Order: sequence, then C-alpha cells, then structure tokens
Amino acid sequence: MRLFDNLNINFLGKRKIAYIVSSLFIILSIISFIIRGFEYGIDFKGGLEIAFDFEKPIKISELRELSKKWEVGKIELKTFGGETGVLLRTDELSLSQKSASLLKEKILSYIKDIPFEPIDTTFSTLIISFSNVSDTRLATEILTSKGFQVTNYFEDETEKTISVRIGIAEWIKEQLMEQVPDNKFTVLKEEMVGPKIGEELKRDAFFAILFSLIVILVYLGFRFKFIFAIGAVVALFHDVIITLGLFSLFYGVFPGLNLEINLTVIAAFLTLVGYSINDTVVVFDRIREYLKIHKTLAPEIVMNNAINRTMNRTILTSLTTLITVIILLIFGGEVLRTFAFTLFFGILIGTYSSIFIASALALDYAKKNKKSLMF
Amino acid sequence: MKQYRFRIVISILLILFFVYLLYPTFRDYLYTKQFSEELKKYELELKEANPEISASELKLKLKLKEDSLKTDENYKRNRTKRLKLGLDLQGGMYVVMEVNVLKLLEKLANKPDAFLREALEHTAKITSENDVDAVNVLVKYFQDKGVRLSKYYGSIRETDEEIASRLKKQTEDAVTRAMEIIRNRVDKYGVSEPSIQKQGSRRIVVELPGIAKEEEAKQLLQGSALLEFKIVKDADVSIPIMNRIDEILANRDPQDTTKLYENASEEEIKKRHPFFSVARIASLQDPRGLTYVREDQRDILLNYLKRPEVQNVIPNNLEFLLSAKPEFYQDGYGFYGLYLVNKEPELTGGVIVDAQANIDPQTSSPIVTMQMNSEGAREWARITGSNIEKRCAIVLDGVVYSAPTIKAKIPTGNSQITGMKDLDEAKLLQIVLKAGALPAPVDIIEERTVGPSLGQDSISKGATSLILGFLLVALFISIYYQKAGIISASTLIITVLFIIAILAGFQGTLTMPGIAGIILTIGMAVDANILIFERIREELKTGKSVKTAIESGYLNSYSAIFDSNITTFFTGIILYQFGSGPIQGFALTLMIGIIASLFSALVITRVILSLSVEKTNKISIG
Repeated sequence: MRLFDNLNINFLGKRKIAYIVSSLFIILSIISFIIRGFEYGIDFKGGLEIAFDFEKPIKISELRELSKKWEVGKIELKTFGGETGVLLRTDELSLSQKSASLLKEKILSYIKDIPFEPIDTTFSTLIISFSNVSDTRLATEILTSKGFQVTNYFEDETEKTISVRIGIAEWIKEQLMEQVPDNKFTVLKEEMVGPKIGEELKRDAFFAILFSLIVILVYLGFRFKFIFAIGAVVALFHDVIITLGLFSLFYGVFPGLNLEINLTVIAAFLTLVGYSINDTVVVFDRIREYLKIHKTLAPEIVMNNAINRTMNRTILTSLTTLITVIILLIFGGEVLRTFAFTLFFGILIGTYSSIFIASALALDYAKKNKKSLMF
Repeated sequence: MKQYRFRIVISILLILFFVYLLYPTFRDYLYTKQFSEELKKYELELKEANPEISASELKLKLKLKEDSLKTDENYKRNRTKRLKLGLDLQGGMYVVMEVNVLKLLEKLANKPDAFLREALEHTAKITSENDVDAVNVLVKYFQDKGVRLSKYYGSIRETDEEIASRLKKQTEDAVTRAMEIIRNRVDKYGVSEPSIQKQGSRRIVVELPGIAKEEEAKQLLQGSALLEFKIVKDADVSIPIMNRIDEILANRDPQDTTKLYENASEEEIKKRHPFFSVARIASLQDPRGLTYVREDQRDILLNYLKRPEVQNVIPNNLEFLLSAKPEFYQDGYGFYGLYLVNKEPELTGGVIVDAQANIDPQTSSPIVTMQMNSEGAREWARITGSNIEKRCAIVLDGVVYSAPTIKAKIPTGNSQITGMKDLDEAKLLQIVLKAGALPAPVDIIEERTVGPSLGQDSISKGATSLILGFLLVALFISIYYQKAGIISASTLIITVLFIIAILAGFQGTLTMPGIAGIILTIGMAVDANILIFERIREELKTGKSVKTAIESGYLNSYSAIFDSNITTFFTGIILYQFGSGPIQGFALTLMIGIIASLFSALVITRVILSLSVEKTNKISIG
C-alpha cells in the first residue's frame, strides 16, 4: 500500500499562500493573547482546587446556586470526569471574617460537651484550651473525625491547647455536608498552590520552552547550516504560537473541554517542540542529501523533490502518533485530556509547517541575504 | 545467519534482562493480592467472633495484622525492587514547605525595633519573589542604610562578615533541623517509601504515598518539634519487663523457667522467644542492659510493642523508644538502640539556650556543649545530681538521638556530651538540641493530595489507552507494510517492555503523564521504522537487490533518525529539569522510550528483517 507514490507538487511555489495563511493565524493568535489572554490553571495562578466525587449524580448548576451562600469570593465549578465528579476552584486562600466566625461557632458546637476555653483566633486558626490532657485528646478526636485539621499548639508543652485550622477547604466541606446531606461525597484530590509558587512556575515554564528552542537552534545550526536552523526554529515558534492561540481563543467555549494552561500542558508543549522538529529534520536531511548530489539544480527544485519524497514518511508518522493521541483524548481521562488536545493540534500544525513553512523560510532567508544553501 | 549471531544473542539477553527486572513487580502484585485476600478473611473472622466489635478496634486489629503480614522478608525484598507508582496513580500527598527564615532572624535579634522590622519586611518582599538567601538580602539592606549588623546581632566587637556568616549558618541549620524533624516524624508515622528532599535554599519537598488522612499528615509535618530529656531505665528494670513481653508473645506460662539461651536451633529460639529474637540484649552482664534491634526487624518490634496485650504489661509510667538512626553496623546490617525510659520527661528543650559541636582539643574527639537558661540549669542540677551513672536520653519527637551517661552533678547547666562517632554525628546532635531553642516555623506553600480512587481510575484508563493505542498502531503498520510491518509491530512490544523494565530497574516512578509518555512513544517509535521502510522501498525502486536495498535503506536513514531523535531527547532533558513529580515521570519515559525505540528499530527489527530475506531473497514491505 502506498499513500503518495511519485508525488510531485510544487510546494515552494505556493509558499506565498502558506505565508499568508500562517500569518493570519499568528496574528489572530496574538490578538487573542492580548484581548482574551489565557486561562491559567491552579499551577500558575495559585489558589485552591478540590475535586469531589458524590455518591449520586449532581448538577453543576444546582451546586453553583448553593455556592452563592458560601460567601467565598469567586468560585468556579466544573464537572470532573463523570457526572458525579465536581471540580471546585477558588483564588482565595483564606476565609472572610463572617464565614470564619460562623465556622468557629460550628467547631465550638461540636465540642460543647467538653469544658473548654477559647484562647485566641487568628484569620486562619482557632486556638482552644482545655483543663486536662484527656479532654484535649477527646476534642482532637471529635474534630479530626469531622474533617478538621487539629494541631497541638506549639508553644504549649502541657498538651492542653490545640489549634484548629479554619481554611476555605474546611468551610466548603462543612457547607456541602449541610446543604446536600443525602448525597455524600469523597474528596478525590485537593491542591493548594501559594501565589509565590505560581509566579515561579510561570517563569520556569517560559524559560524551559525558550531554552529548548535555543538548544534546537544550536544543534541544528551545528548539524546543518544556520540558515536551516533558523527556518526550523521559526517554524517551531509558529507551531507553538498557533497552538497557544487555540488555547487563548477557545477556553471556556466548549463545556467539558478544559483549556487551561497547567504544568501538564507545558509538558505537552515541550514534547510538541521536540516532536514537531522531527518532520522538519527529516525533510532537511533529504535536502542536504540531494544538494550534495545535484549541485547544479535550482534549490527550489531540490527542496520540492525532498519534500515530495519524504511526504509518505511525514504523513505516516504523524498518523501513527495522531492515533495514539486521539486514544488519549478519548480514553485518557480528565487528567490527560488537555495534554492530548495540545499534542493533537500541535502535531497537525507542526506537520503542516514542516511541509510548507520550514524549507520555504530557509530558502527565502538565503535568497534575501544572498547566502548559499549548499553544504 | 552467522553475521547476526552476536546481535541475536545480545537481543535475547537484553529481553531476558528486562524480564528479570520486571519479575519483582510481578511478585509484588501477587503478594499484594494475597495480602488483601487474607485481610478480608481476617476481617470476616473478627466480625464473626465478635459482631459488636467497634470500628476503631477493628481498624486497629486489621492494621496490626497488615503490619505483621508486611514484615515478610520476601515481600519486602520484592517490594523495594518493584516498579513504583507515582503519587498521582497510587494516591498520596505532595507538600512543599518553606522554612520561615525571617521569623528566625527576628527571634535571633537582640532588640528588634522599627528599623529591624522594616529591614525584615524588605527581605520578606525580595525573598518572596526569588529563591535567594535571606541573610544576604538582609545584610545588603543594612549596608545600604549604613547600619552595622552588630546593632542587632552578635556583639559589638564582631565584624559584619563574621555576624553574617554566623546568621547564615544558623538559618541553614534551621532548614536542616526542619528536615530532620520531618524525616523523623514521617518514619515514625510509618509511611512506606516517603521522599523528603531539600529544594533550593529553604524549601522542603515531601512526598507521602498512600496517605489517606491528609489532616493527620499535615499535622505531622507542621507541628513544632518537642525535645525532651528522659531518664533511661537500666537492666534491673528493663529486662524483667522485656521477659514478660516475651512470655506473652510466646504464649508461655510465667512459671515456665526455661533459660533464655540454651542450646536450641535458631528457629526454636524464634518460636520460644519471639521478642528476644528481635530485641537483642548485648550482654547480660552489663548493668545498663543495652538492647538493639536489627534494622530489618524494626517493623516487627514496633508491631509487637503496639499490641494491646503487650501494652498491658509495660508500666504506665514507662515507654519503649528507638534510636533515630542505627547506632552501629554489623554484618551489613544497622542496629537501632532500644530504650526503656520514663514517660514523663525530666526537662523539655525550651530551656536550652545554645548548643555547639566541636572537637575537644585535649582528646581530639567530637563533643557537644550545651548551655541552659537559669531556670533550666537549676532543674538540671537536681536531675543530674540524683541520677549519677544513669543514662539520660535526648528525645526529639519520641525518637532517641543520644543517651549519654550522667557522670556528675552539673550545677551551671553547661554540659558536655561525649562519645559521638564523628563530627557529623556531633553536629546532628547540636541541631537536635537547638530544636527547642530556635523553632523556625514551616509554612506549607504547595500541597497536592490525590485520593486512592482517582489513582485507581487513572491506572485503568492508562492501561486501556495503552492497549488500544498499541493495537491500532500495530494494525495500521501491519496493513501498510505487510510482513515488515508485522515485524516492527511485534518489536513494539519489546519497546514497551524495555521502557517499563528500565523504569523498574532504575527506581524510576511511573506516573499518569508517564503512561501517556509510553503511549505516545508507541506512536513515535514506529517513526524510525517508517523512515527505514520508506527508504528501502525507494532503494528497491532503483533496481537494487533486496539485500542491498535493506543495507542502503538503513545506511541512508541513520542521519535523519539520529538528528530527529536527539532533538526530542534534548527537550526531554529540559523537561526533566523543569518539571516535578508527574512531569518528570513523563520526561523520563519519553527519554527511555527514544532509546528503546531506536534499539528496537535499528537492532531487533533489522536482524529479523535480514533473517527473513536470507533464504528467499524476497521482501514483503507492502
């Protein structure tokens, strides 16, 4: 079986059209970066994220209605996995005064049978003192069983004082237990990322992608010629920007498709950079080979030949990789969906750019600067 | 055939090696299955025997049973060599903590005033943006404002450099101490295979696999450490108690007066004296009754001590404690000290003002000196006075770091501890002793918890995707390249085996993105084959014989394969550097996958392909 036998298309002759199409997409992407920006995940934005799994299916709209009573800043709710899963996110890391005092009352009511003395409350902890150690232990047990985080207060060595965390997670869990008492839930995962970490990660991610592009530029410059390396890396930029453009344009548009930028997505982008360069390298390798054999032919013709001859391989490899990516998209679950999405479109765009853009850029760059393509 | 013999042998040996690397994983799987069945059976038995059993008692009994099952030697050996699953697959907790160095700097200052607070605020701002050394930032602020450090720290005679380097040392110690405390607690909590690592200058990354109760874990990590001094009981008290425990564990009648060590086989001793077969008394003549536990039997001992019937015979005012680290090594095993101590501490660590590890110039052996405040010194004089020639255990969070013998009454609180193996051990003790004096609080700045059900779900999704991905890609290339395609599809299995075996063999961790990496590798692995096959087809078209076509097909594809794979490998390395946990798992599988697929395509497929055309001189490549 053969896909493209004796293919002979003048790809480079159509490079103006390719430039226009690509420029349009890039401009559109950049406009969207400026106007819409991105939806960052908790990894970069910081905040609190809790995934619940309820016993029975639960409607997000219903929960959204209930969440208005929680009085916790901005709460985002999404489905997580199936219809019993809910992903909750908020940017705030501490409770409002009012909710905090309500939660405090709640905590104190749980231990009302034990004599205690409230010592102090700060914005995130409640400090309670007891008259003896066994009372402390009893109270600790009760509160821990209710899902609270209880610690022995550290400056007290007699074990008579405890501190109870009154954070957003506790508050929300408490509210949910009350509002939907007939639908019990378990917490699938809970993530808290401080704002500091988010900023650092954003910077690291940016440099990781930039650094990998530079490494590829240097390596290809060394293995081929600098002209080719430039063509390949600009094509890579093209792939990354347009794929990022999709993230910017379509986040929040399709329900069920979560297009937020998180660590896994960055991993997908780096993989894309590493993978997408493959097609380009294979084409360049063939150009190098043909340029050595046909020294007198015009570079356009040599390049066209190389692209046509490697077309089978380019399409086939992209196809097999796309097969696996599609499977991840369908069966990989919530965790890998965005990862697979990035690679799916990234590979499509990358295949396109290695056929239409990379060689064309090398050619035009050489023409403009009057440099020879010959090895 | 002959020319390929070497390659065939190498390939077969490698495949056998992979199977060998994966064998412990397989055994571990069987063990885990067996244990969970046994536990279920035991739970039913318990419920049958006592239908009224309370949930907490049931849980405790099950936990004890599970622990005793898990002390099996074979199980442990396989367990350490199995393929480890990341937190995202088996559930667990990932916490990044930051030692609050600023609090420490504030505490260290002689008389904090508005200027110092301003300086610390400035430092807080800078250090929150970058992971730079807080002391450097503070010192620079002082210099910019023309204020000498000695105004707040150290004494007037010291130069800024001296003070700065001491402050640096103290903040570093605080981080080391926090790590030590956390490691200590996590060990005691019994988390299997925890990972505690330092990141940057003041961050600690803790991974606790399989933790279900996050509140408990957080409490474990954040509460401040408790340093206590406890008097150790000598042989006259400890041996009778241990004897009683031994009797209970062996179900022996107290009237049975069989001697401890008579000429019996090791198995028999183990059966008759379960406790003494793990808690080894160094010498019955030594009045101190030094007792040790071999490191691999530590869990068994802890399990014994937790049993309610054993708890009953230990007097209420006493408790058994273990040393923090092995106290000596013999026959390749570390030995932990076992101490019977007073439950009520004589003194707690808050009274310690300073501690210093040094080399004694006279004896040139390491010593630790410690100073106490006046209140502590008074108590200390009384304690040391009435316990001469007894040992005093230095206990941090319930683990013994050292148990020096009290030689004389110490009236001033200035004490010297000797007998450390080396300066490192002395330094550790110094850090421990300061735990009470300088508690630097740790803040949790990142925390991720994955419940076990989500992990299970991810595993099954990953497995489905892996199998489906493999089948579809194999089908596709088998149709497209016919026989040659079938060959390369079957080497795909070897590629996957390669990745998983190397991960297991080199203590890598399989994460969900890692599984995605393997699936992706399946798609990309055929790339090398496609390149070669397409090239062979082209060569055949130019009229070359099958053998030469294969030969030059391979030869002409090398540079493209090499260049394209090495760039992917580079991004894999960068990704590994950048990411943490799950992402690193992905980068790792991606990199191993590249090597594996190249090996499959360039060596194995080639040998099979060449062999298959050897006789017929025909190739079936679609």
